[in-house]
This record gives sequence, C-alpha cells and structure tokens, in this order.
Amino acid sequence: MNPMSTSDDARHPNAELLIREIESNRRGEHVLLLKTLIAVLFVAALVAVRQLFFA
Amino acid sequence: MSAADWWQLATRVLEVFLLVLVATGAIPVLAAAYSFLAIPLHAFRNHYSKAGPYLPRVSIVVPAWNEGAVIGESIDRLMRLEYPPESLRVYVVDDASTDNTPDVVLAKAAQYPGSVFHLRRDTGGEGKAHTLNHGIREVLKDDWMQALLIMDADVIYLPDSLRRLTRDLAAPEVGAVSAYIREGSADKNYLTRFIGLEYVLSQPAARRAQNVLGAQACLAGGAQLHTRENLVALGGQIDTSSLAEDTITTFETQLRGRKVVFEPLAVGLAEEPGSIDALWKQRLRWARGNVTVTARYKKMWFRPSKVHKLGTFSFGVVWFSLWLLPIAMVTSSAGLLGLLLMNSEIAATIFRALWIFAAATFVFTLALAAQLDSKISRNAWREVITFPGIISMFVMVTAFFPRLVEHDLPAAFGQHLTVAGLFSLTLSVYIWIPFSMVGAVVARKIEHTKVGRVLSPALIYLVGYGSLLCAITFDSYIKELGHAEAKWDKTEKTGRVVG
Repeated sequence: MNPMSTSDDARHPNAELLIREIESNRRGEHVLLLKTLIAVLFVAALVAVRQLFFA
Repeated sequence: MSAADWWQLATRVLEVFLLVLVATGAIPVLAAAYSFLAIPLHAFRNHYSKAGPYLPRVSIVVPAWNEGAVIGESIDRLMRLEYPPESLRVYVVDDASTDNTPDVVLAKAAQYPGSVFHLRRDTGGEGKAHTLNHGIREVLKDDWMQALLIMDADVIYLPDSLRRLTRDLAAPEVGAVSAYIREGSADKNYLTRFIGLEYVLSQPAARRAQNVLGAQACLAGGAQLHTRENLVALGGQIDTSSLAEDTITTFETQLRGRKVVFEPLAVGLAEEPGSIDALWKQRLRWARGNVTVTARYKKMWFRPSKVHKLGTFSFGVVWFSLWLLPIAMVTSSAGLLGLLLMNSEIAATIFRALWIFAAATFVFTLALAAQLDSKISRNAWREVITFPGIISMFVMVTAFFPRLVEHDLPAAFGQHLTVAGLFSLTLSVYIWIPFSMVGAVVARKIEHTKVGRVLSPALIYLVGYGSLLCAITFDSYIKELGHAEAKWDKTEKTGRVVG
C-alpha cells in the first residue's frame, strides 16, 4: 500500500470523530495560558538579572 | 519676557516636540505587547464553541501560471485529504502557462475524472485576482459548490486541514476561514528560516489575538475558505483593482457583517522566497497593497461599528503600527538625536525606558511565539535569538545593562570610556534603527555578487529581519508616492515544499 495514501475511513470522518476533535482542540487552547506564563517568566528573569547584578 | 526667557521657552517647546517624536517609537512596541497579551485569552474566547461537524461540498480554485514543477504534487495531496472525495472538486485555472502546466493538469484530470478540472485562460499575466475570478465564475455556474477554497499552487495541506477549516463554517455568522501557512521548504536557508519564524509571529500568534479582538486583518492568500453565501455577497468575484485582493476580500467580508476566523490547527505548507530580491518583490507587492487598503477604507478607521470590529481603536492601532513602523523608527531616532544634541538630561532616561520596554516586549513575544510552533522554532533557533538583529540586541543590552556596556566591559580590557567615547557610543545607538534599514538595502544590492553570498546573510543577521521588512515598507511609500506602475511580480515556485 502506498504510505502516502489515505484510508477510506479517514476520508469519511464521522460526526462523532469531528466533535471529539473540536472538543480536544478547544481544550488544547488552554495550554496558551501556560505558554504565556513561561514567556512572562523569561522577561522576569531578564529583569531579575538586571536588578541583582547591574542595578 | 526677556530674551533669555524666550530662549528657555523655545527650548522647552522643542524638547516637548522631540519627546513626542521619541514617543512614536513606543507605539508599535505597545501595539505588539497589547496584541500578544491577548493571545492567552484565546483559551476562552475562540471559535471552537460554535464549530461543528460540517463537511460541505468544497470547490478548490488553484490559480496557476507556469507551476508545472509543483502543481501535480499539490493536486495529488488535495485528492488524499481526509475529506469525502465525492465532496471535493479541484479547478486549476491555467493562466496561459508556457511550461508543462497544462499537460500536468490534464494528466491529473484524467487520473481523477470528475474531481480535477483544467480551465485555461488564453491571455494571462493580469494577476492572481483575474485568474481566480475565471475559476470562481465557473464554480458558480451551478449550485454544487457550498464552500470555496482559494489556494496557491505550491501549498501542500496537511491531511486533516480541510475538515478543520470547514468545521468553522458550521457557525452561520462565519463567512470565511483562514488556515495557518507554514514555511515548508525542504532546503531551508537563513532567509526561509526567518520567514518561517515571521509566519509564526504573524499567524498562530497575531491572528489568534485578532480572533480574540474580533477582527482579522488578512485571510491567507494560499488558504482561505469561503461560504457560497459570502462569495455571492462579495459579488461572486475577487477585487481586481489593487495588489491586495486578499486583504480587500477580508475587509469586505467583515464589513458585510460576516466573521472571518483564523484556524491555527489547519496547516498548509508553502514555499517562500529564498533570496532577498525575491522576498523584496513579494513583500513590496503586499506593502503597496496595504497602502491602497489604508486609503480605500479611510472612513472606516477608528470609527466603531455595530456590524464589524475593523473600526475599533485597538484594530486601528495594530494596523497603523505595522503600516507606519518605518516612519516611527525614523522619527523616534530623530527625537532621541535632537534631545542628545540639546544636551537634554531626559534623553538618556527616555532612551533607556523605550529600549527596556522594547527588549521586554521582544523577549515576551518571541518566547511565546517560539512555543506556538516548536518545529519551526527548533529549526530556526538562531533566527529566534537574532530576530531583532545582533546590533539592535547590543542596543537593548546597552539600555538594560548600561553599567555593563559603559563601565564593566571596557574595564575588563583595562579601558574606560572617555566623555567623547561615551557620546559617540550613545549617538550610534540612538540613530542605529534607521541605519539598520540601509544595511538591509545593501544586503539586497550585493546579494548576487561573490562576496554577497556570505556578506548578505551576515548583514541580515546584524541589522535584523524586521529592518529588512521595514526597508521594503519604506520602498512601498516611495513607489506609491511616485505612482510607480503596480505590476504583478509573481513569486517563482520550484517545488521545494515537503509535507
């Protein structure tokens, strides 16, 4: 079988799978909160270095 | 008032004027910070609550001019999408190609009968919008099509991308959905890595923020899905009067009260320019298009409406911050230079505040964006670190850690900065930003020379990719002011995308 081909099931996604995917993607967006926190921590680290060593 | 009083007053007025000039440089940084702080809100304020299992009959219109190298693979990929094949039709609009595009498409039409169609324009070269309209007229002739996907010939969609786009059309208020176009060249170089990173910043990052703010600036030209109703409401055709047909389609959709949604999880891979010259031509077209859009919708900016959110203050600030960024860079530096020459005590404080804020925003935006597409970020880690340019990073370090640059570093080499040396250093960092654009222009000029093959990439790393984009935007002002001919310079595609 051609590894690039797509199975017939995958080409006919049923409603249940689509709803599950939407719900999973919706919940997946919550990780944006954690990623934003990590980005803020990078800035905080920069400020801390300035205050501790170069103030 | 004595002459001395008048002189003091004039000095104060000039100082305030220069401070206003400096403040213009803070506006784009504020706009970027504001946009990126809206991204986490996408966790709660997104389109998924209104999405649903919806698989409409989709017609795909692919404009193609001399796309023989890429079109066959693109069609094969479309026919393998995880989408019901009986609900999929591909119309390749061959814009009078002179290569083997017709042969390739006709062979694919024979391979996928009833699913792939070859439409030929005998006179081509009028631009993408004209080519698209040829295909759109064809698909609107009957009522088979329920949704229309507009794409570029080189874009390769990930298998689940189309169904992830159509689900958003389940909400009746949505008129169009845009996918995430990711840079997908197999043979990446420094420039395609910069473009890949820029696309992360401008799509899964900035367009998520635009989802939150309720107004989208632009549907991706290579991946936009419209409902039939939206297409009909737009007059059944794409605007052909400018170089910004994608932005005009996006604005017109929203002005008619329909929502435009960005779907970050529907991904298409595209081949982007691998040389500064090709990038310059592509982006000059986009930038000149934005000049047209800004003028055409002059009565919309900063005028809130109950129908759409394009007229909100926040959207206007974000739009104009990007469009006027090169001017803001020049005026801000001119203000700092003026304050320095006036021997103003406030110059150093303002410079420090501005650049510390810029550095913090830069770290925040890149740290967040890098996490939104880890695959791109891993490949482009050098470009993530050097995105603002190595020299601008030095300027940021100067602002953030002044003692380090002015005292500790020279002291480490047994030196100390004289007053003249400190003045020269300060002068250099204040006026660096406008000069960084000159560096980008030089990088383009020497790109195809023997020395340029090494020096051009080095210059872009030094001056920053953002400065290259600003230089192109500056060029668009000059071209528009000079009423230069607006011609369609197509970006050459060679089939470098791998899925």
